[in-house]
Amino acid sequence: MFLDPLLLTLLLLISALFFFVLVFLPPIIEILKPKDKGPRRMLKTPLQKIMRSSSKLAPTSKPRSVDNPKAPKDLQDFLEKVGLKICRVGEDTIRIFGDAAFPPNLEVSDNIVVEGALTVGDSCVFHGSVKAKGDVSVGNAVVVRGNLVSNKNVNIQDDAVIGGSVHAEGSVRLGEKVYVGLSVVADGDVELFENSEVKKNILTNGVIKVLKNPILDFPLSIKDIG
Amino acid sequence: MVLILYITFLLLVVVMLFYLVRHYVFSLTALYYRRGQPHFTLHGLSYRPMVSILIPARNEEAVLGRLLHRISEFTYPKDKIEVVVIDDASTDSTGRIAQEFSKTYNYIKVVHRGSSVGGKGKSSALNEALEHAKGEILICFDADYYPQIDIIEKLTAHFVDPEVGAVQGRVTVLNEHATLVSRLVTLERIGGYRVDQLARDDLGLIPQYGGTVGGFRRDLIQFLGGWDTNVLAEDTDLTFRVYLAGYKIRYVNEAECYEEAVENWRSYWRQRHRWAKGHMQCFFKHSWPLLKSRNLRLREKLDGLLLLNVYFVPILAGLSWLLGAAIFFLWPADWFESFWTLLPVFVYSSVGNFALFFEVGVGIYLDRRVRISWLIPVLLLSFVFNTIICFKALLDLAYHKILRNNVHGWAKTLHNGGQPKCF
Repeated sequence: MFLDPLLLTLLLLISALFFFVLVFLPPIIEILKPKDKGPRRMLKTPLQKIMRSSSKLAPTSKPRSVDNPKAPKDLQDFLEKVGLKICRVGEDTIRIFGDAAFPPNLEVSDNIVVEGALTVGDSCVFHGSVKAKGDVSVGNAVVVRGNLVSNKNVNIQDDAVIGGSVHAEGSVRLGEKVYVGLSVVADGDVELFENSEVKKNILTNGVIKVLKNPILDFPLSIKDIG
Repeated sequence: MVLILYITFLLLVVVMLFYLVRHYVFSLTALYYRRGQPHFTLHGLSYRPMVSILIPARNEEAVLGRLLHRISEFTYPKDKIEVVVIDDASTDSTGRIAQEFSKTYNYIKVVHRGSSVGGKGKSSALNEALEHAKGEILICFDADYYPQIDIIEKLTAHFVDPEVGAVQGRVTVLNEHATLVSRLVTLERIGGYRVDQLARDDLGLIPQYGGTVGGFRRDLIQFLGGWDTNVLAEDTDLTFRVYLAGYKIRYVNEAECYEEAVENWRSYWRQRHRWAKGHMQCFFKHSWPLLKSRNLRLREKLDGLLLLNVYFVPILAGLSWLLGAAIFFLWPADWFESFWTLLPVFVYSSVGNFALFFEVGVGIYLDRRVRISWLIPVLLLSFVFNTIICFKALLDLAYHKILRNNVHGWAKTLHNGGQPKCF
C-alpha cells in the first residue's frame, strides 16, 4: 500500500505546518498581545523585613587590644617546619591543607583558611579572619580580630575575643566571658554562658541555650548523677 | 582523510554532549539543591565594612540620575558608603548631573576624565576609580542599573568569609516589554543567573563575576594590579584572576538589580560581539594557567575551561553540523546513520550558547512566571544570531593577532532610560 507521491508531499507539508504552528504560535501570540506581567518585582527578602522591624544597630565594635611578644614572626616558615602543607592566597591569606593545630601563644597577621579541622591553642592572636572547612576548637584567651568561619562546628573556650562574626554551618559553643564583636550565625544550636557577650545578633536555625553556671550544667561526681 | 573527519566529528559531538550534561546538572541543581545562602545574607545585619561604589559612566545622562537617586535610598549606613562616579570623557551632561548629586550628598565623589585620557573603555575608567576609592570593599554598578535598597548588605555579607574575594548579584531586565530583543535578553538573563550562576555557586564551581552588581575586596584588586585594559571582557578576566589567586567568588541570588537591556538587534550585535571577543581573549589568556593552577580543584578547572570555551560552542556546533552533513552525503558509512548527523543539530538547539531552552524554562518556573515561557522557541533566533557573532568575533581576533595589534575598540551600549510600567 504505497501513497501517491503528491499525497505524500502534501502530508509532509501539512505536518511541517502543524509543527511550525505548534511551536511558533504561542510566541507569536505573546509577541502580538503580551500578557506576561514582567519585569518581575525584585524580591523583598527576609533581610529587608528584619531590618524594618529591628531596632537601630550599634556601630562595629573593636576587639580588645592584645600584644604577644613571644609569638613567632614568620608564620609561613613556622607552619612549613611543623610539616603542614600550605599555599599563599593573594597577599594576606594562607591556605593550609588538611587538619591544623596551632600551638599556644602564636601570633598570626594573615587570614587563615584551613581545609580540614582547626585547633587553636591558648592565647593565640589572629589579626585577620580564620576559616576552617572542618570543626574549629579555639582555646582560652584567643583573640581573632576578624571573623571566625567554619563549615562545621565551632567551640570557643573561655575569655576568647572574636572581633567580627562567628559563622558556623553546624553548632556554636561559647565558653565563659567570650566576647563576639558582631553576630553569631549558625545552622545548628548556639550554646553560650550568661557572662559571654555577643554585641549584635544571634541567628540560628537551632536552639539558643544560655548556660548559667558550669557547675550546675556538668555533674561534678558520681554522687551528683545520683 | 575520511577517518580524520569522522574522528573530528565525533569529538565535536562529545564536546556538545558535555555541555548538554553540564546544563542538565545545573538545571537539576537549581531545582532541587540549595546550600544555605540566606544564612550568610543575615551577616548583612551586623557586618558593615566601608564600601566604595564605583560607577563608570560615559554619556549616561539618561540613566545616571536614576541610579544616584536610588543609592541615596540605600539602607546601608551612609557614613560607610562612598560613591565614585567616573565621568569618562562624556560629551553630554553626565558630568554635570553627577556634580549636582555630589553637592547634595557628601558621600558622592565625581572624577572627570578629559578626552585625552578618557573614553578608553570600562577597565580604564575603573582603574582610575580605584585610585580614588577608599573602601575596604569595592562594588561596581553600570549607570543604567537600578538596585535593591539593601543590596550592599546582601553583597558584603559574604566577605565575612576570608576565602571570598568577590561576589556577584543577580541581574534582572528592567525594560523587558520594550521590544522582542529585550524580551529575549530577559530569557537569557533568567537562564543565566537564576539557574546557571546559582548552580555553579551551589556546586562549588566557578560563578562568574559579571562586571556589574558585584564587588571585590580592595586589597585583592590591588594585589591583582587592577583591571586589564587590553581585555574586552574585563569581568571574565577578573573572574579567572581571582580564582587563580586562590580566592572564591560567591553568587548572591537574593541581591537583585535591574538593568536596561539592549532593545534592537544592532545594539545586541555590538554588545555580544564585544563579549564574545573578550571571552575568547580570556580563553587564550587563562586556559593554560587554569590547568596548571594549584589553587583550583579538578571540578573548578573543568568548569573553568567549559566557561572559557562557551563562546566557541556556537562555532563548534556549526562546524559539527556542516561536517556531519558533509560526511552523511559524501562518505556515508553503515554505522553512520542519520542519527549521528542529527545529533549535533539536536544538541545545538538544546544547548546553544548562553540561553538554553530547558535552563530558561527552569528559571521561569523558579521565578513563578508563566506567560514569558511562550517566547522560548524564539530563542532560536538569538542562537543563529550568536553563531554569526561568534564567528565574526573569532575572525576579528585572528586578524588582530596577525597584525599584532592588541588594542581593541570598546563598543559602548547606549541607554535611553525609558521607564517601564512597574515604576
